[in-house]
Amino acid sequence: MTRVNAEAADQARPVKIVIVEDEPLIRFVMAEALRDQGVCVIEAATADEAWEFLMADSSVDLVFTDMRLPGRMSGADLARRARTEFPGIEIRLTSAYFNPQDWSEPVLRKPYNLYETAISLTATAREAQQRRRPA
Amino acid sequence: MSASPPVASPIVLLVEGDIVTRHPLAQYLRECGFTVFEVASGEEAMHALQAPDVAIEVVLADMTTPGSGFALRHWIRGHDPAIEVILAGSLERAVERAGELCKEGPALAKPYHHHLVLDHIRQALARRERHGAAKNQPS
Repeated sequence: MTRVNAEAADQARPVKIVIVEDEPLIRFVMAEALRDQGVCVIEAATADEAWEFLMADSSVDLVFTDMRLPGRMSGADLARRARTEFPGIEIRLTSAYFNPQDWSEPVLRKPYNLYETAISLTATAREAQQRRRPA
Repeated sequence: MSASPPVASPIVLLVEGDIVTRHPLAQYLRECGFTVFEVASGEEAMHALQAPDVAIEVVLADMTTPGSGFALRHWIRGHDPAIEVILAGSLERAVERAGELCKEGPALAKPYHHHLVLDHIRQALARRERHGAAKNQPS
């Protein structure tokens, strides 16, 4: 494949976002809003599950995770592990209530605006995809 | 239907506890024209099926997923007998049933043969195993 063709193919690849949310109805609605933006969405119910997916497919551009989740890992645990193992992946956290000691970066407060959040996450994922593209 | 999210295509609820299997299967069904809701357990499936604005028509459930299988089918029959429940006891069977659904699905152009989905899932499972095994090796 020529350089131009490879770039065109990469440009055509939809951005990939993992959404981690244990409340299925919130997850469905957010996932559909992201799909409306042309995003390939992977739905995970727990941080452990999301981690399983990242180990199988590290071509993810962004992880959008709730802070408080059932299972062994919290959203912040997942974010820290992903930052270490997959530094090219953008991480965004959301929560209705959280302890600022858990995560030092801004956290999106619930309830959030679905449409605005979908647009913002898609743009961030695109930037991550661009950065990962070989120069 | 005043559904949220607003969708016109038939809704399939995919019950599969392994995300590495669930995601490609769900993508395949979406490309066949279905709207797909994904859940990781029988408990989540019941939660989704009780949502008043979500008109699920078909449930494709992996039998080894916690809370799934015959117990889930029994519950669904009591909750809404009009919902079609498809149980799959293995990865191969789940992919095959997804292929059958796809044949009957609303999309006129079918995306690709379901065997490709099976190959993709097997490769992803192997990658996870390799990655997981590498992580567990003493440094």
